Amino acid sequence: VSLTGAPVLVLMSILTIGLFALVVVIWPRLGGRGARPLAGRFGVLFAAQVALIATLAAGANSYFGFYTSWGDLFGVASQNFTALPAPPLGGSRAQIAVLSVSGLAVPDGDMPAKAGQIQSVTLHGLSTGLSTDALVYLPPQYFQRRFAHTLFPAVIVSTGYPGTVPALVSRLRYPIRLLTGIDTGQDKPMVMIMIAPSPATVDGRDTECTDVPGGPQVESFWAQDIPAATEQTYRVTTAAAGWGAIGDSTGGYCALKVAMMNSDRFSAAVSLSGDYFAPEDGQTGDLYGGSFAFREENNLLWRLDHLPSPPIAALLTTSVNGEDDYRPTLQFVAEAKSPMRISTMIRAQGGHNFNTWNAEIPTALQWLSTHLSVPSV
Amino acid sequence: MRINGKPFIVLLGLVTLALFVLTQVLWRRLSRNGPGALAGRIGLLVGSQVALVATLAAIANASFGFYTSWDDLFGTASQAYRLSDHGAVSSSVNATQLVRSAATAGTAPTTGTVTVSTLTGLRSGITARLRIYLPPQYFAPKAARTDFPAIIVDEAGRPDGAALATGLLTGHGPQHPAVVVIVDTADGSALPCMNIPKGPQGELFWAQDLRTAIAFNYRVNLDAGSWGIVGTDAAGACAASLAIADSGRFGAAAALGAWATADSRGVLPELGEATDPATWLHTYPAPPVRLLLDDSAGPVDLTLGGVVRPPLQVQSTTGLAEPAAVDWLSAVLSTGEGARA
Repeated sequence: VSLTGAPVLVLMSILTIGLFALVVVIWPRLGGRGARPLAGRFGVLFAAQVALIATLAAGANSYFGFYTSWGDLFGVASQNFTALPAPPLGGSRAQIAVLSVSGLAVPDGDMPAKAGQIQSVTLHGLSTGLSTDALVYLPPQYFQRRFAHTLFPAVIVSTGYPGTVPALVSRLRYPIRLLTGIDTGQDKPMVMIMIAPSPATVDGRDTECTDVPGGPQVESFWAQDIPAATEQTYRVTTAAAGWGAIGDSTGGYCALKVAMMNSDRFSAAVSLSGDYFAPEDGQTGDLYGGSFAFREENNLLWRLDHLPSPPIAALLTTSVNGEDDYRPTLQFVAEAKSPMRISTMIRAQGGHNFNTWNAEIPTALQWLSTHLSVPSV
Repeated sequence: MRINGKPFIVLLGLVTLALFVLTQVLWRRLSRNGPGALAGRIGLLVGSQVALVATLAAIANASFGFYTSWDDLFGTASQAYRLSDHGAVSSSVNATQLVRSAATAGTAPTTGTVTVSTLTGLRSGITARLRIYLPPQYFAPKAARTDFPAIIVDEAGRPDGAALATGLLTGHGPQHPAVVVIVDTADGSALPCMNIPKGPQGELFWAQDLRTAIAFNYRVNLDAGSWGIVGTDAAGACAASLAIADSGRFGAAAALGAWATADSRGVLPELGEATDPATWLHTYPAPPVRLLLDDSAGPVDLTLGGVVRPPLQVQSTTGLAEPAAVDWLSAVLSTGEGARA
């Protein structure tokens, strides 16, 4: 039974209503004195409450797109990961397998040359052996004859952790926002590769886009495998000037970190409410091979303090009231040195939620449109 | 009262507790038949459930920081923001890493040229001296739009850089046309090869600074298949490590001399075995890389930990010299048909 599917929600709702009715009906029979009626009262109340809370939690999970599978939900930081074998030299195993294509929920949304197209794909990373589910949005220009020989800029779009890829389309609405921006002349066409920060094959572990020593090489998956697979499959540029990354929360940290560490392949990063420190908790496990020094290298403020600032442009968003990363963001801006260019979008208020990011994403897409090398429309 | 403050959560908790106690107290009274008691039961239950759910939601919200004000929750928060746009990075930034520091030697159309330049890595901050050899074919009019492969020779900490450059100009250039970049340092010190935690960022230097500096100054593209690296002794271990662990940037490497037994710069002491090439080959997919290894330090299947699977290709030889390794690389590297960087 799928964790996010309607059957689970319906089943749990029926159970919740049933338990509620049961409590009301058997209420009179539990009114006696003594331990047994008391235990009965506590028991039925408890059962009804648990059922309700579980139902609401499942509903919230489905709405906000935190966990897609039971494995994700119960995924603790296991050190196991699956690495697929590499193809033989000269072999050209497809790095991207298209599972299905769909249009957008707009007028003429099923006409690729007008609304673009969303492709549901599996992306296989050749250098890391990791693979993941992704949604790829190809803008309408990609299907227009005028652009038949154009190489498009490409952007990795990431959810936070936990997060599910479809939420990037249904809640944060990246494709429709980009389409609207292109149609109104504010955005330039770009290919978006929408993912969750940790590849599916790491089984729900929060890897924070780290090249875990002896473990999953998730930074390399972002920096090497995703560009290589995308460049092999779609008409996108191979130049760093045309590659960017954007994400919220953990996805924002990932976008900024991967671009900072791989500025020969990425030139722009947008971190929506991302943090800067290399986290370590029950869901990450030890990501740093037990090395405090290596952990520091994954702390982006430490990097600015101790290493040259890399040649990328970054857009950082936060709010004065409502985000923990407000002060670290100001510190990051203060410590970044040339040639790094930092833009900021700072709101007076707004928490760590879809309202905030929904308000920021249109501007972030405009920023990416002007900071990546793009074909003229 | 703030949505994520303690007082609000405590208040909700007290209401929840009070409703629970009330339920117990009123239980008998609401056990009667009749619409009044029934309505009372339903009302009290609904109230208890709403209070408990609200308490848990407030706790979760406060701990994750989802909604930090009532306006935020109801979507009535100000959408105003201050955007300060500081622009993009200048496109010339990679090219400026390289500064020519001496006159060019050689004659372009006949022997090729060697230019001595200083590279100051943008990302690593590491400074090195480069002797950049351009083959005579580089200057042919019909090659004006052709990209050439690039071969890096790590001579840092060794005295042979100048002699090798002279050799390239005097008939010992690579068999197939390639740009050859001989890397050493003005003070004769060796260069780090991996990113040492809290130390010099060798991988940023070799894989990113050096590659972008050359690609943005010469007709060399950034495709991994166009890039090879040669080293002797510890630098050989370094070359092999770079190609194995960073196959997205290097397509081939040659490790000469006592590379397998040298105090390997290809392993991070801090992270130990996890970064060792043998461990790497056991753990991750074989990279699409060609290696040429001197087997005088031991049989290749031992030196690489016994794991050589396709697409990794390993050739071995004994007593190989650097010019021959450069020749070999010039033959296996692709000229790269990809777009210019």
